[in-house]
Amino acid sequence: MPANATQILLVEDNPADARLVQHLLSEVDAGRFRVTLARSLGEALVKISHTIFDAILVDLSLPDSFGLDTLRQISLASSSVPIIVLSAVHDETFQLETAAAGAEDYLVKGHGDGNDIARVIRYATERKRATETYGRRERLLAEAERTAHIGNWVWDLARGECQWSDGVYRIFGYEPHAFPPTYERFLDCIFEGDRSRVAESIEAAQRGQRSYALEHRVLRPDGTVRVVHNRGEIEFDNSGKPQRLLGILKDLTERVRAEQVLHATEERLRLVVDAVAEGIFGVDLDGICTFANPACVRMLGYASEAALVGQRIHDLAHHTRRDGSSCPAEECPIYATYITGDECHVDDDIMWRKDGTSFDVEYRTSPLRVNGKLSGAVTIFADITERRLVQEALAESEQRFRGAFETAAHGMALVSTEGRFVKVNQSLCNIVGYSPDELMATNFQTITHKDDLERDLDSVHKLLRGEIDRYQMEKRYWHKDGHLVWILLSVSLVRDSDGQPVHFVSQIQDITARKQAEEALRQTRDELEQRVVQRTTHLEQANRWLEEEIARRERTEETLRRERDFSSALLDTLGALVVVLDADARIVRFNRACEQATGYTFGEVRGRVFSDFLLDPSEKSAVNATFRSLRAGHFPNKYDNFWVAKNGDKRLISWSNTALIDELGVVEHVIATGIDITEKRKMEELEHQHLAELAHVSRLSVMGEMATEIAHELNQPLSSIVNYGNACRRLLKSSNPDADDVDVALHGVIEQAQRAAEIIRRLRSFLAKGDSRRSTADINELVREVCKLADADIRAHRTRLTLRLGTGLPLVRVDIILIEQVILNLVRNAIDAMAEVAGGRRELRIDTARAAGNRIQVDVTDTGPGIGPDVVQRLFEPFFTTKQSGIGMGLAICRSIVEGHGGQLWVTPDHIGGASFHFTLPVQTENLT
Amino acid sequence: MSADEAATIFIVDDDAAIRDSLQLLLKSAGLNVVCYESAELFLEAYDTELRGCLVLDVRMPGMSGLELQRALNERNSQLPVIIMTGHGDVPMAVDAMKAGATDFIEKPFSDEDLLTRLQSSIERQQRQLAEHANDIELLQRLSLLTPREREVMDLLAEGKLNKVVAAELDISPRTVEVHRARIMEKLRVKSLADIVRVSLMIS
Repeated sequence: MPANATQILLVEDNPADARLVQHLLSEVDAGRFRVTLARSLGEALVKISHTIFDAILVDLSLPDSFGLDTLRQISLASSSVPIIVLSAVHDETFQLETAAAGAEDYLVKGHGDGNDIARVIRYATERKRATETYGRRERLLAEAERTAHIGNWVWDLARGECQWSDGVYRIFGYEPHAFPPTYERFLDCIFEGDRSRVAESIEAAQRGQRSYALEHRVLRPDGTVRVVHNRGEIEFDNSGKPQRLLGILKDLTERVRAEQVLHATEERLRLVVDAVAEGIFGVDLDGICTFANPACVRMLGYASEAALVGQRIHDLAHHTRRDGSSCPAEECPIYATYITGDECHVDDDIMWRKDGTSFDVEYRTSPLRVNGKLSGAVTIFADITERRLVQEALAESEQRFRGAFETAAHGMALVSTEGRFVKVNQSLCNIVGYSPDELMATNFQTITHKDDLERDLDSVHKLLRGEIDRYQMEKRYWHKDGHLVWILLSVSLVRDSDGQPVHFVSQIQDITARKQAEEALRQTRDELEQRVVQRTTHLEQANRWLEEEIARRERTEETLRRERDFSSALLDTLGALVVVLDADARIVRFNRACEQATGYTFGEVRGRVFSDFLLDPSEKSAVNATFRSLRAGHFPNKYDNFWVAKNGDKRLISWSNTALIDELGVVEHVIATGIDITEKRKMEELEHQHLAELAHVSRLSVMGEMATEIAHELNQPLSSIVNYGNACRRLLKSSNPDADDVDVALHGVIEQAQRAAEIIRRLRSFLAKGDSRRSTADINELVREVCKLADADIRAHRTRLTLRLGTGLPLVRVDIILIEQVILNLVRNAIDAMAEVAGGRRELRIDTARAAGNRIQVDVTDTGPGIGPDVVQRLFEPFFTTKQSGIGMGLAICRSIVEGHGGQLWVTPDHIGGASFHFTLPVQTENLT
Repeated sequence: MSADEAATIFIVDDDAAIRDSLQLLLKSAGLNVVCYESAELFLEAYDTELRGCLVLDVRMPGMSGLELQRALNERNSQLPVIIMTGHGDVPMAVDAMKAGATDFIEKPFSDEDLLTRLQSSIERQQRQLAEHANDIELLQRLSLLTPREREVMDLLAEGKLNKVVAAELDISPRTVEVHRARIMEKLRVKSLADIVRVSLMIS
């Protein structure tokens, strides 16, 4: 195989077709074509990556790819290798498509022999190479254009078509190929003001000039302006007709800009140089003036720059020293500069004017270099004559100041901004006792009393900040000896020409003496003030006491007034009757309750003796006696009596009385407070009545229960009467009647009849409603009476009755019927209780005796079964009964009666087998009703 | 009214007036009267020889009328008892009758009423006493019988014929006849019926 064999990649999956192609190619110049076979796209791509082929033959229908996509993929993978499509079909449209997709040529399978294939391959290869080369050139050109900001364009005048390179688009400010290029668009991109000029130039070239070149501006779409150099040539045909215009655009903007900047800078520089007050001149290496600014010209006294340029400056202006000695150029520092290349600065020299006068100068010289080589020097100088004068004046002033400073009577100091004593005068040293050196080694903070330091520093800072321009204060310094010195300090701040603080100037005045005098004065004044204050305080105090006294008096009066009003109101609002009598029983106060109760107004009764008209005649003497007792000082006392109202009504008042005595113990007034108990009394009586009725009803019912016994009891005397009567008749009928017997019989009749009557009488008495009147009675009598009443009952129940009645018992004040009822009830209960005991003994015992607390006690004891605890509790309940028949009112009423008398009724059950009922009654005492 | 000197009326009542009035009344009727104010006192004085009638108040404290009756019954008292009741004492009266009271009378009562009852009570007692005496005598005579006679009597009293008795006792009928005659003689009875009666009495 020859070394330069053409490498062919055949991408064909059909083995027959592949073999055919290979065969055909091998027929042509054996060995010229080296065919590699790939049966799929994937295989093809792999092979492409390994080997650089000269051409690729590809069947577009592959197992793993189809149609144009195959083509594209291969084209992508080997962009510089010509691709020839193998197709089974001859399809022109498809051919075009393949060409557009990157195929160089198109072969129909089965058409053509090996030579044809070889030719196609060769042409395809050639074409590819040419295209590649062209493409490369194009790219290079574009690159060159871009770098040089150049664009080229071609205007085909015959066809009217334009072609612009990328550079042209860029210069115009567009993206390459942003729009189709035309001449009109070309002109549009040109700055309006220059457009006509450009168009004319191009037309002129077309007419015969052949070429044109001009600079003009271009307006970019972003609004920026560019400057371009536009050059072109016209190609003519044989007849002299313009065919084509070949143009080149070059963007000059950068360069133009740079020139502009340079120009502007030069201009500015010139302005500065011309404007400065200092003189500036330049010299070359020979010392010849190259330029001079107006200030230099003026200061040296010449007419214009021209007068100086070309001359030797040194000879003109810098030839002689101040002292008059001449100065050769070689010794001139300026000269040195453009020789050595070093800068120099001289601040005290002299220059000479044209007219021969001189002036003091300060100057600076710098070397000039061009491309690193010395080419001359530039000097700037200033007239310092004035400055010199000022300096001299300043020195003089300082001198004067120093003198003043030293000789001042007061202490003076120059103090640094940190507070150090920079310069001190002797006076100050005398004040504080330090030597100048000692003082200058310290600062004012050290010798200032600590209490004054803050104030001082505060002012210092204000001064430094410029808030104040001076301050003055009294402060203390510590003398070297250790005692304090009072000084008056005045401070101002010296600033330099920049306004920066330089140092303080302090003036110190010894004011110790003055201070002491002030202190003495102050003390005196204080003392005086003190005394005045004291005096004032005393006066104020006295005033206050006086006011308080007055206030107190007023308050007391007010209180009294209020008390009076209060007591009046109180008296009037009281429900109780309040009447105040004087020592003669005359009415002094008579409250509203009294008015309401009696119908008299205070006005009607005032001053009248109360007993004359308010009392019931029956009570008058008793009440008066009480009044006299009160007046004699026996109080408090209580009693009840009637008041007779204006209309004659009687009100029962319960009084509680007291008296007011004066400081000698004599009764001034009698105060009686009463409550109208008329209603209450009525209520009490009603209640009593009610109770009495209830008791009566109870008695009736008791009697009802006792009916049998009563009947039986009556039966006895009646039976006896019948017997006696019959006996009488028999005796009288007999032959010899015994008169005595008859008498006995009749006597018996009478006696028994009386007995019966007595029973009935007792009964009636017991049953009577009776007035609820209390009367004095002997309890034993009551007991006996009850026993007679219950006699039949007792005997009927075969009960043994025992009476143990105390002797010498005091009397009681009771409602006899009611108490008898109580005793009878207890007796009957006892009998009934024992009746339940079948075979046992039936003993009823009644005891009377004195009891504690000034009372009488009655005990009714039986030998019955006793009372169980559950019954005891309920015993005194109304309607509670253990009896078969019986309404059970007895004990409740008994208790009510006993308690109504002020006594108590209770039971002690199981009193040695049985029950014992007890009740007490108060003994009659003296009552003041 | 025939006054029997042996008959005394005993009055037991706690009410003095009742005692006195009754005493006067009965005396006026010619009777002997003795009063006791309590049952206990009467009991102390009691003996079986008392003849007459007891008039007893049914309501008394201490020993009641009923208790006295029971006490008397224990003593086999033959004394007739008339109880005096008050108004509404019916239950007491019933108890008293059950306890052997002869009669009762309700206060106040007429004298005729009382005397009549007393009479009949006394007569009854006499009769009873007579009977009792007879019976006593009879018993005495009975003790005179020999054991054999006693046997014969018992059998005869059963209604057995002589020969049956003879057969049972293994004696001759003749002997039985002999015994029978002796029995009647000793007992002083006249007929077989009387023998039966005596037999019944002693059983």
